Amino acid sequence: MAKLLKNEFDSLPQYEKDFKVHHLGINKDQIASGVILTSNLERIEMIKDTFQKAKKQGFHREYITYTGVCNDVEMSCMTIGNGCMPTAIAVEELRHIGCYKMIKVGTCYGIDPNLKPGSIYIPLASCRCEGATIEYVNHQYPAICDHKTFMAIMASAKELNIKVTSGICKTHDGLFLESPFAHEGVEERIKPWREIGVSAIDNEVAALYTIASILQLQAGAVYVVTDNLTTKESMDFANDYDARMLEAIKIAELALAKIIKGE
Amino acid sequence: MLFRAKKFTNEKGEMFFTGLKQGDIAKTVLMPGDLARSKIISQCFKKADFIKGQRTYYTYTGVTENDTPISVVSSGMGPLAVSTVAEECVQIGCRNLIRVGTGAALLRDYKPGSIIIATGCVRGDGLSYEYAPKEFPAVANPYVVEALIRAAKEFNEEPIVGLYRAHDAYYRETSTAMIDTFERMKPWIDAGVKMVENESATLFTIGHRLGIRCGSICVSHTSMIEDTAYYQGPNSKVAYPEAFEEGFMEERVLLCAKIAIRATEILQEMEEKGEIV
Repeated sequence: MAKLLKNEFDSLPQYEKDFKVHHLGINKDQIASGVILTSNLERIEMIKDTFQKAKKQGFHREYITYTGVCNDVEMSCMTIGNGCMPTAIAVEELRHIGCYKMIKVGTCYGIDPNLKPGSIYIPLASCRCEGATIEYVNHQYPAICDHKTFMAIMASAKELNIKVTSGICKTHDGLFLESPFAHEGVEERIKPWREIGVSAIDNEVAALYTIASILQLQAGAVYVVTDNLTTKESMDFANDYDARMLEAIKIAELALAKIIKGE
Repeated sequence: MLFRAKKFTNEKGEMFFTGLKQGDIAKTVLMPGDLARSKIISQCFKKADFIKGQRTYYTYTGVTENDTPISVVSSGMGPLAVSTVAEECVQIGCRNLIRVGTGAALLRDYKPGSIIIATGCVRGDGLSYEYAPKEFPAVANPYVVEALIRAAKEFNEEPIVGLYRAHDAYYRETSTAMIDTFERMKPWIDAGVKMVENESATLFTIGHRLGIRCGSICVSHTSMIEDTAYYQGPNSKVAYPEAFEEGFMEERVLLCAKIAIRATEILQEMEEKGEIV
């Protein structure tokens, strides 16, 4: 087995029936060259509804996959569940089945008091305060958005006339320690990060960026800021959430189409 | 909240280490490590005035071909020197700081003298940990990266774009200390790191804290791992004999500088067009 591996970070696919990979439950014929990722399983409906000819390809564990056409290119969308553990699996198995371009849409919490709930945030890079990527490489290695993907996201936002903010994010594992519903001590936890200019907190992007970078894939992310942990403000979930999320999805899809077309 | 050190000046009101004062430098500063390169780089400006030379800090200020203000301040080698330039220059108006220099390519196939632009840097240095905890990413400013890429393409160069690794102990990670260096470097090579040098981790981390835009453009003569079985490219001496003629590297470093000078103009244009968010 070891002889087949090209380098320290290479892994071989674990195939099931019809060459479907072990966790995602799909094979290389069921996925496009680029995919929109999201954590929330229900949100996949909203994303696939923006595709033409969206066809469900699989639903195994937390991974629901649709493939269709969007912005004139073949594109997939897939859920990855919550946190860095299933995110790491998704990135690895997407590579196994030939999907090398991925943009995540989702939500994050602002900690920079200027990052308003309801606004759209592009994590340029992330602090690796999680466990998954440490098994790959020590902390010296940076979690950075792929450069071309970042530029495509910023260009797409401009084209769609949607205002976005970018910055450095912090990815954690302990959601219930750093969230609007956290245990005591959240302010003490986030204060040192806010002071060094970290603007938001999320659950996945450090794993997405680090592992994609190590495996030489292209990854980016577009987030809706739902709450601000410093100002304690929240967005208007009832009236604004769907519209803002749809904006994030549109930016991600246009950027992914640009990357797939090689623009 | 603005992260600024106390303004540490001499009796003439000049910044203590670089000897510079407000008005001495442009908004964009190129930063070679080698003192001697300050003058050479300034000769590529349309117009350049010698401002000051003390310790390792040699400064020239002038304008580019299209009259964009530009400066060059040499740092000397390593994190402490780089942090001094960043900390002092930010106090007197520097907003974009671009490192121009040399390093050692970590690539398994490398054409001698290829240009490598950093998107970020592995933090093998020590200094950046005094500014930010270990989890923090050393990331280059994406607009500086983009300006450098566009400028390189105007010079018909296809740059290699990716991660650097910066570290402090030169003789622990160099091709002439190869007994365990290869084992030391292999995980970084496998993780896609393109080049090893000694400044960018500090520059990017400090740059974020100081709120300035930073980037790095470097050139390597050959790949550090060319003499190992891991290397896949052709023997550079056979395939690229021109790369071993006298003056080859000087010319490539000069090209790096010209690209960085053009990038200064592009960065200014991007800013004026509202492309920088």
